[in-house]
Parts: sequence; C-alpha cells; structure tokens
Amino acid sequence: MKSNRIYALQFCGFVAFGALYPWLFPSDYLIHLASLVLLYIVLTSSLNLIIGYTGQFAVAHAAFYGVGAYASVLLVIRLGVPFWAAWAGGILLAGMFALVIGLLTLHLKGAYLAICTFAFSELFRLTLDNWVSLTNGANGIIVKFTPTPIGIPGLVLWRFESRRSYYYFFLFLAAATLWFIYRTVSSNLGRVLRAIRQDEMLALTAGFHTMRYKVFAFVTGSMLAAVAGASYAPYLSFIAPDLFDMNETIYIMMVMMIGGIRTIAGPVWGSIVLVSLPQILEIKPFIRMIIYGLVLIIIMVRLPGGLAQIVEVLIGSLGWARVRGEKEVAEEPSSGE
Amino acid sequence: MLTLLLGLVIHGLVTGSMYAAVGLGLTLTYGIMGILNFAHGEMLMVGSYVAYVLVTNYKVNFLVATLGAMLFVTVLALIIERTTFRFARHEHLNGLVISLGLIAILQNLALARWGADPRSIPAPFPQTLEIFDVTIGLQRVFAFGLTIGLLFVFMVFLKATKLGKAIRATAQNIDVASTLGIKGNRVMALTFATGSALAAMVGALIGTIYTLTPYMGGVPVMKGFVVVILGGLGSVGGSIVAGFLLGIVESFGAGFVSSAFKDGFGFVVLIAILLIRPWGLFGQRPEREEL
Repeated sequence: MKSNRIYALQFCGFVAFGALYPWLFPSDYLIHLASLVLLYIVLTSSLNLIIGYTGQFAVAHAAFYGVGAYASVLLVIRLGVPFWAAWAGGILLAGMFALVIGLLTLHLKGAYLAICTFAFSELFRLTLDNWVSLTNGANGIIVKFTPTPIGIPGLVLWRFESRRSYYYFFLFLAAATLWFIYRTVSSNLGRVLRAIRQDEMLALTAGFHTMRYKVFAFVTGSMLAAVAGASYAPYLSFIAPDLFDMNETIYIMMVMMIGGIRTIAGPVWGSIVLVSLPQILEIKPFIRMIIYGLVLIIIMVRLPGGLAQIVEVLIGSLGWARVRGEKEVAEEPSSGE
Repeated sequence: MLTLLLGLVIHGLVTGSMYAAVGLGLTLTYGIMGILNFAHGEMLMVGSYVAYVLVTNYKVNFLVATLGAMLFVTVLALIIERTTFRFARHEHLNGLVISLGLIAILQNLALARWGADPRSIPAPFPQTLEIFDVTIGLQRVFAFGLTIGLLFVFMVFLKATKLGKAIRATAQNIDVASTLGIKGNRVMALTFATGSALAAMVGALIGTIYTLTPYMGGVPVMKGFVVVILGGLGSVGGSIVAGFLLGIVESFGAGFVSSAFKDGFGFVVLIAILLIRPWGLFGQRPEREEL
C-alpha cells in the first residue's frame, strides 16, 4: 500500500533525525530537552492506544507511569535487585496492576470508566503520600544509581554515563513504541480495537470478545507508560508522588489531543512542539498549562484533528502528498461512548 | 463509647452536608447537559478564593463574602457554559476533555495570582460548642446549617417553582421539553450556574475550616463523584442521601481504622459500588447500553 510507504518514510525520517540530533545540537541542555520530548512521545503514544484507538477513556495513565518509576527504583534501593531486573520487574508489576484494574473496570463505559480510573489514580497517589516508610512520602526519592551497562559478560555494549548515551536509549524506546503502536493499529487486531471504539455492541455481535481486546489495549498501553517511568527514573534522578498525579495525566492527554488523537504522527508532533517550545521560550509552567488548556478546549470545540490535522492540511495544500488518515481524523472524536 | 459514636456521627453529618452540596452540582450538570464536569472542584476553589479576598482585603462580613463568591462563580459558570460546554452537550468524552482543560486553566490562573502557599479565611465563629458531651467547632455547626439551608431552598425551588419544573423536564428529555416552549439553552446554563454557585459556597465554608490552595478542588470533586455514583448519576435526592452517607462512612473510617487514609475510604467505596451496582444505590438499573 502506498500509505504504508509514506508512514515508513516518516518513521525513517524520525529515526534518522533523532540519530543525527546530538551532532546537530551538541549542547547538554538541548539533548536533555530532546530526551524529554522522547519521554512524552512514549507516554502520549501509549495513551493514544487506550483512549484514541480503542476509545476507552481511562485517566490513570500517569499512575502507571509512576508504578514503573517507583517499583523499579524501590526494588533497587530497598531490595538490592540489579537494575535491569528491577526495570523489568517494575514494568511487569504495572502490567499486573493494569490487568487487575482493567478486568475490574473496563466493562464500564464513558463517564463511569473515567471516574473509576480517576479513583485508582488518586488511591495510588494517596498510597505514595502516606506509606512513608516505603516511599518517603511526599518528599519523594532522590535516585542516586545509574543503570548498569548493557552487554554480555566481558563485552560492554552500552554505558550510561553521559546525557548522550541516555538519549540514544530513549530514542530507541520511542522508536520501538511508535513501531509497536503502528504495527498494532494497522493489523487486524487494531481494526477490532477501532471497531470497539466506534460501536462496541457491533464488534461483540461480530463475534469478537471485546473485553479481551480492551484489556489488551489497556495493559499494553499502561506497560509502555511504565517502561517510560522505569527508564526515566534514574535519568531524572528524582521521583515524587506529584509527578504522577492527575495533573500529569491531564498534561499527557493535552499533548496527545493537541498533537492529534488517533494518528501515529499526532503524539510525536504534539510532544516535539508542546514539550520543547515552552522550555525554549522560557515560559513559566503555569502559563504553559493555561495556554494548553485554552488550546485543548478550542480543539475540542472546533478542530478535533489537532496539530496533525493542521500539518496534513498544510502538506495537502502544498500538493506534496496525500497522507493517509484524513478520513479517520475527520471523524467525530466522541463516538467511543 | 456512646459519646465517641455520637461525635463521629455529628462530624460525619457536617462533612456529609458539604459532600451532598458538591455532589448535587455535579449530578445536575450531568443529568441536564450530559457532561461530567471534572472542573467542578475548580469552581469550588475559585469561590473559596473570592470569599478569601473579600474577607481579608475588603473586610466584608463572611456571609456577604460567601454571597459574593456565589455570584462571581455564577457569572463565571455562565461564561464557561456559553463558550465551551454548550458545544459538547451529551458528548460525554468531549465534555470531559473540556472540563480537564478548564482545570488546567483555572488552577494555574489561581496559582499565578495567589501562589501555592496555603491560606485560610478567618472563621466568623471561632468558638466551640458542646452537644451531648461532644465538642464541636461552632464554625462547623454554622457551615452545616448554611449548607442544609441552601440545599433545602434548592430542593423547594426544584419541586415547587415553574423554573424548577422546567429544569426537571429538560433533564428528562430536552427535545420534548423544547417543543413545550421551555428554552433548553437557558435552563441548562442556569442549572450549571446554580450547581457551580453551590460549589462556591462549599468552597467558602471549607476555607474557614481547612486551608485554601489552588489544588484544593481535587479532593472535594472526588468526593462529589463518589456521592454522585453512590446516589446514581443524575439523581438529585440520591446524591443528597449519599453525601451524608459518605460523610459518616469517612468519619467512622477515620475514627476506627486510620485517619491518614481518610480520603481513601471514599474511593474504596466508590470502586466497590461501581463494580457491584454501577447505577448507584438508589438509581434505576439502566438499559445495558448505557453502562
């Protein structure tokens, strides 16, 4: 298919630019900024799988991001588990939480699901705040260790010593996430997920066990968020309960929606523009949130396709290429009720 | 022992009345506009800060300040309804996302203006009172009385006046209501504004008992959700009963289990209810499609 080739082209462009970026902009600050952008690409793309493609309005994403971060860090500092085992352990734990919560809540719809996942997210934050002996409460934990080098015994392949080495690890994670999400949503499985969003009853009558598909999307999306959490905790070197609360979920959602929900490129554009721009322009965080809130509302009211739609319209008007996804973007974003 | 129990019940009723008022606003907005307003807590926060400014900067009497806060939030709610929620009626997810955007805007505006430091409104009644050996701050009794009074007035308004009837009719079926000459837009805007004004009053009262921060709306709105789900989304009477119920459950949980986890009991109850009876304790079981 032609559109496949365009996606492959965009994807290669992304990876190539990502790989060259540290040579183009060698300053530590700009590499740090790009690392944050990559973090949000993982977070928003995985949320896009749950909310965007499958239409399940679960608002506990930051909590799973937090489970990944807290579980891996606590396994290392409290139990002395080797870093990569703790990394995997944190992600698996998040996956297990997501499985249990998903099985319990995903039969709910719309507002009910949002409220219930919101409650789980708050319970997680309350636990972090109050279980002081384990989590050090609201003061958070300063993460002092660095990931152990990757490699086989006797041959080190990758060391985490400079910002640049972290950056390439994050670039790999972001590219893997994008590739995984693209493969998922363009497969038959993805078709079922989209069918669930549009009309779950119909998908059910067509013989698909919709609950399984919803749980699958929820668990994988949440585990990807946990991957981000476990990988970034040693890099950011500080974790605290309020980094993983409802406001963070709202922020991730804003970046996703402003970027463009239900597209692969949307979360990428959203992360690039919305995460880096305020830092470069040195806009204070609260002003950033006010502006994003306004933009989000305008988009919900007037322009459901987000930034990706603007970019596509621009590309289209240049007569450069017809980009797939127009049809999808034009849909009402609300049919997941 | 009896005194302890009585004390827990009384404190539960006081907080319960506020939960009921917050839940009422949420349930009305949902019932009439089909929008789950996560930003309801921010209305409460704005009301609280307006009352704070009126009391501390302009030395206004607390009751007048509360009224001022309610008026301010009413106007704010009317503006919000006209510019945003009107375009997302009965589109649950769009409404929800818009309300999340509103949270970001209102919370950060308050942060920019007042900073994150906790503040408090000086209580008009700092004395304590003894009811059957139970010591309780007079301010809490006052808050209880004011909330119950307003809830009562509101119920009478809903049951006995023509406008109240119009609100109930719109909640049941907006199309039929508009064919009968009820101006749906106006009724919706008004309902949303009234619900928000109730939240503003609770905000002002919370400011005298606890503290004000830009983030203060989160916990009450969460409690409001618990109440609304417990009572059945859209049910007015249900949310009032559920408000008191939640207040008492929390008060007993804090008294007998753990006070640090006080806010957690509500969530546990909420999750349990959603899993067993998602249509609420008093709600009607809806068609399968709806849940």
